[in-house]
This record gives sequence, C-alpha cells and structure tokens, in this order.
Amino acid sequence: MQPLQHLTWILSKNFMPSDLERLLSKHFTVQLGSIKKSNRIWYDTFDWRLFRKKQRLTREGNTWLFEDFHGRQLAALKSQKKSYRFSWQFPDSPLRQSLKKPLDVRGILQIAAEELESYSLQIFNNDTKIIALLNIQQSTNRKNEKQIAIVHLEEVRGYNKWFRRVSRVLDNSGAIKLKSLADLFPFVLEGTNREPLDYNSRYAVPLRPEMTSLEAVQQIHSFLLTSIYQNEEGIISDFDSEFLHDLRVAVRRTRSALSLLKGVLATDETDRFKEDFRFIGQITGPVRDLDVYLLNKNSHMDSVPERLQQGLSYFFENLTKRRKEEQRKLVRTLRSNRYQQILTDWSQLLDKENTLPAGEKGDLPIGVLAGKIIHKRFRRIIKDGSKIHTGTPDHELHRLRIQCKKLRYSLEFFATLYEQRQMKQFIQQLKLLQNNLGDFNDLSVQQEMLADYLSKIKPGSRKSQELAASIGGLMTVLATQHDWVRAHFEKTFTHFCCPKNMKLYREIFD
Amino acid sequence: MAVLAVYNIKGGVGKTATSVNLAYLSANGGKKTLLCDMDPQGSASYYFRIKPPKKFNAEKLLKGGKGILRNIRGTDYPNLDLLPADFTYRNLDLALNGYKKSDRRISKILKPLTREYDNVFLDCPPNITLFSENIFEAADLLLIPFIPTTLSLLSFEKLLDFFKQTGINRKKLYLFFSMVQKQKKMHTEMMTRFSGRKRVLKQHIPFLADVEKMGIHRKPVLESAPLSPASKSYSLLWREIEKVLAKKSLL
Repeated sequence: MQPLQHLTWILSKNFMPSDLERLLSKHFTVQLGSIKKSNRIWYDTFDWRLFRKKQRLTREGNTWLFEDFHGRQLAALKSQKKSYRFSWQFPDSPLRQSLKKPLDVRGILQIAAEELESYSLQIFNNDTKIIALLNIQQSTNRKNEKQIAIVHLEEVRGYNKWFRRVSRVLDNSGAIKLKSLADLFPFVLEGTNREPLDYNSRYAVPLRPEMTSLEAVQQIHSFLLTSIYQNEEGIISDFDSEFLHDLRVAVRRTRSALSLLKGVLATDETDRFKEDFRFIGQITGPVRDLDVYLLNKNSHMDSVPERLQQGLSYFFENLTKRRKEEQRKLVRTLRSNRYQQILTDWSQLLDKENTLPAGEKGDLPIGVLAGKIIHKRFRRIIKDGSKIHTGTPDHELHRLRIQCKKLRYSLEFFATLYEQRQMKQFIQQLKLLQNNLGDFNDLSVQQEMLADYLSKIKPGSRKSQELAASIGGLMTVLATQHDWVRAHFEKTFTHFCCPKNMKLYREIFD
Repeated sequence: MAVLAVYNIKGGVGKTATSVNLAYLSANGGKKTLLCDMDPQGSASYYFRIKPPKKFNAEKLLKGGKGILRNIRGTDYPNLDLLPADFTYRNLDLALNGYKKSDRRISKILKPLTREYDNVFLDCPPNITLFSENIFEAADLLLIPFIPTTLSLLSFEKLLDFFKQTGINRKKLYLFFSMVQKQKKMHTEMMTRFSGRKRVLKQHIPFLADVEKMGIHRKPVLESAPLSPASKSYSLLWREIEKVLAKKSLL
C-alpha cells in the first residue's frame, strides 16, 4: 500500500494561523480545532550523530518522537520518565532499538527548546467527511522569544486529489514548502551557542601544497586546540565517555604533529609543548583506561562462564568506584593552574595576530615536507614489520604499532594534499594493520592490568575467592584472544605489503 | 492479525452498528484497522460518510490486488480505514461462480490486506450464499449478533447445520445478544437459556436510541455519545472479544 503523503510549510511572516483558516475557507469547508499548548525539546549527541543521519529526536510532554528529515516517523514512545541519556536507558521499545546504533555510547543532550501552540484544521467535502488534515504549529524559541508558524498537511487515504488541491492553495499563499526538517534547526538553535555540525570528532584541516609549513602547522594546531576546548565541559560534567576520548585524540594528534613536523616550529617551543601535551595525555589516561573496561562490560561478562559472572560483577563494581575517584582527580587537574596555563600559552602562541617562531623548515612548502615525512614513516614500517616473525618479542610489535600510528596521523594531516579517493583507500589498508596491532596492544594492557589487580586482592573472604576466580577466567579468555591476534599479524602485514598496496602507495605519493 | 466477520442470516440485528463501533474501538486502541463494507446497501460506508468510488464494483473486489488497495478510504478517525461497498455487490454470488476454488476467493483477496492491518472487520450481508461461505472461510472469528427471540434461535440452528455440512470449523463462532430489551420476557428467558454456554459472549448490547441515532449523526456511537450506555456496552464487548483474540493468539 502506498504510504500516505504529507507536506510541511513555513508560513510567511505576519501570516497568522487565523489568516490561514480564512484563506482555506474560501476554497473548502474547514473547521479549526481547539488550541493545545506544549513544550518541545530537541535532542542530539554532542557530535550531531542523529543530524548527520538526517534524523531528529524530540520530546513533547511525555511523547518521544524519532523522525527522519522527511518527517516520516521512525519510532515513538510514551514515557512518564522525562530524562534519558543513553539509548540503553530507554525502556525496551522500537525507539530504543532505533537509537541504539546511531547513538552508540554517546548520550543525548537537550540542544534546543521551543514552546508550541498547536491547532488542528480539518477540511471537509460536501458529505462533511474529512478529506485532509492540517496541523498548525506556532513555535516560540525559548531563548529569544522569536516565533515561526509551521503547517503540516496530511493526506487522508483515498483522497489524494484533495491533498493536492489543498497543497496548491498553500503553495500559492506565499508559504515556503519545507524540503527537510534540517531547515528548522537554525530557528530553534538561534540564541543557543550551537549550530548543526559545529562539532565533529573527525580531523579536517584543508591544506594547499604551496602553503608554508609554518602556516600549515598553525592551522593544524589551531583546529586541534579548538577540539580540546570544545570537549572540556563534557569531561568535567562527565556527560559521556566520548568527550574525554575526543580530547585525548586531539592531544595525541597535537603531540604527533609536534614531533612529525619537527623543525617547522622553533625547537624551544616544540620541546616545551611536547612535554606539556605529554602531561595532558598522562593525566587523562587513567579515566579513559577504566572507561574502555566499563564500556566493554557486557562483552567481558559474556566471555566467562555463568558461574564466574558474579565474581566479575564485583570486579566491575570496584572499577566503577575507582573511576569515580579518578574522575574527581581529573576534574581537579583540568581546573589546575598548570593545565590552564598550558592551554593559554599554546593558544596565545597560535593566535593569528602573532607570527609563530619558526624553525629551520618553517618556510618549506608543506607539499614538499609532507611527502618526505610520509616516505620516511612508510619505509620505517616496511623495514621494521618485515623483521617480525613468530619468535619476535611482543615489544617489537608494540613499537610497530607506534610507527603505524605516526604514519596514520601524517596521512590524515596531509590527506587534502593528495588524491582523495586513493588516499582513502590507502588509509583503509593501513587501518586493517592498525586494528590488528591495536587489538594486540589492548589485550596486553588488559592482561597486565588484571594481573596487577589480582596481585592486590586480599585473600580470605568468599567474595575475594569469587573475584579471583573470575579474574582468572577473564585472563584465560584474553590470553587466548591475544595469541589469536598475534598469530594473525603475519597475514595482516603481508597483506599490507602486497604488490597492489605498494602500487597504490606509489601512485599517490611518487 | 485477525479477520473478524460480523454476520447473521437475519437482517436488522445490529450487524452494521456492531462492525462500525467495534472497528472504531479496535482503531482507537492503536491497532491499524480496516472495515470492509460487504453489504450492497453500504450502511457502514454511509455511517462514515464515504461514497463508493465510481470505478469500484463487485468485479474489482473479486479481482483483488491493487484495485482493492486503491479504493480503501481513510475515515475521520486515526488508524481506521474503510473499504466501501458498492451496489453491484448484490451480484457477488454470480461473479464468484466464475472463479476456481470459489469458496476461498475472499480469503485470497484478504491476504494482502492482512499484511497492512492488525484487524480486518467484515460487515456482512444477511443470507447464506456462496459469498457467506467465503466469509466463513476467511474469518478467524465469526461474530453473530443475536436478538434473543425464537425466530433468531431457529436461524442460528440453521447456521450450525450449515457449518456441520460444509465442515467449516465451528470454533470460529461467537454469539452475543444484540438489541436486547430487558422488559421483554422472551428476551430475558432466551438469554437465561443461553447464558454460560460455550462461545456465547457475556456482554450484550441493549436496544438503545443512541445506536439507532447513528444514522442521523453518521458517526460511531462512541464518537457521538462516548459516555452513553451504548458506548459502554460496545467497549465491554470489545474487551471481551480482545480476550478471545488473545486466547487464540490472534492479537
């Protein structure tokens, strides 16, 4: 069966809902329903995950509505509880199912609020049968009291001719047909300090090959610094785990840029801020490490037999407690003079008004320098990777992982200097290798952490027995996975060095 | 998903009022509901102020497929659609004869509709004909409005005989008392005779002016007089039927 059509218009200024009734009553028999007042809150994640997928989540009173930008309902839920942060906190419902994937581990923020006055307007034929339905909404932006009137026309099944007639009248009234719900965001967001897609965790700084390296470095660092600032508030309020994650990524990229582009910025500055950002990386580490564990709680739980799960839940209780302490410490450090001073100095240095203190490579066109850096990183990986065989100690793999990371960051920094499609393909190939090495590293770290944890359990009680047993169980699982990942390295690396990839590399960079 | 047919051999027992109000209740409870007006008189269509589309007729109905979907009309109420009747339905029997497996034609036609709707109601014409037989086949539940009189009993027994002869599952049959006038001795006596029997629903619909006035308001009684005793009886009857549906896992 054909889905029912519906269309939305924004009424032109000074055109009130009552004018609309007058206009339509010239053509049709109409009846205006009673007025309904409500508040509507708009939600999205900090990084606009729903907006990016062309979806909108709102709550009007106790009704949650999830729609696509065409206004098609994807899911709805009536719930007395008004605040949910994570998808898994919603009651089991189609709404929870539809939010699960797009939100993933991110929480939903209230991004805007509006006051609504809604009327229904019914349109009848000669038999006083309803043949089209209009819903008029007068919306007031709560921040700046600005108003906008929206008309929504719904088709009644079997009366498409009437639907078309009414929509023609609306088109001719000067109302603007809404192509996508995205067009309503600027209105509701006015007065808030947000705008759609104003934050993206992806790195994106467009460079031109003829830019001096110093200019390029300034732009790269400015972008990363903004990202650091943007995430601070969310870390302090501990809204979800990704604020900290994104800040750490920005810090890591900053450190990488400092060392990869050595000689562009004056040595004194480079050395100072390398040390400073290493410090920020350090202080943000413990909470993130615990987050990684806690986010994977369910899969860890599932990986041990049922009788060990009780013990493991004690373990996670402890981690939660520890995370609380670490989080408190982290907030204190973020508010400390040292942290604040680092960022203030860094941002003053990067300020556009100033010229950065240049090193010996500062004047080199970035197009030239980029090629050199990438070549060096790539050669190093091929050389080190080829030496690894089944007997190589683990730390060699960890070193290779760092090498890959460096290459990955240089590719990302300089991506806009090369052919886009091929670049994407090559990064994809590198990612496969990185995933293998990353998993290997994560598993090593986790095992060490568990071993350390195990050594600190005080023996004696029944609880600590269960705890120790479950940690043992989990370690066994992790060790098996560790071996498996290690065994797969060779295959992954051989694939990375395959002639096809080499050819791809030469095509991009030679 | 369920197909609920409202049927009686006799006319004037409140079939259309029942179909209209029960379909309304089903839709109001959030179930996507379709009411098929199968009676050439088109009373259900009239109650919803819906005229049969010009190009729709018995032939189109029996052909099935998109022709039917195209002729479904939205009523004034959320979740409730209607397939209007056409006067040519009076010749449905003749038209049915031309089809293979002519006693299952309606089942076949309804199949695609049951994918779109949670509940499909059939407001059936009186008589036992090939068409009625089709409906007995198609229905998951056959609701029989029954005025508690001797004549009604006679016609009900005829129906039971017919089911026995044709081998249609009699467990589909559910009977309820309609147009009940408690002041009439015969009504109360008949009802006592039947009460407690299997597949006789407890709730009855009294003979009420509000139900008759549906022809004037052209609305389900639950819309025109939501607080009336008539609305209350229909609501209770629907609740009882929903329980039957749940038991048969048709909800």
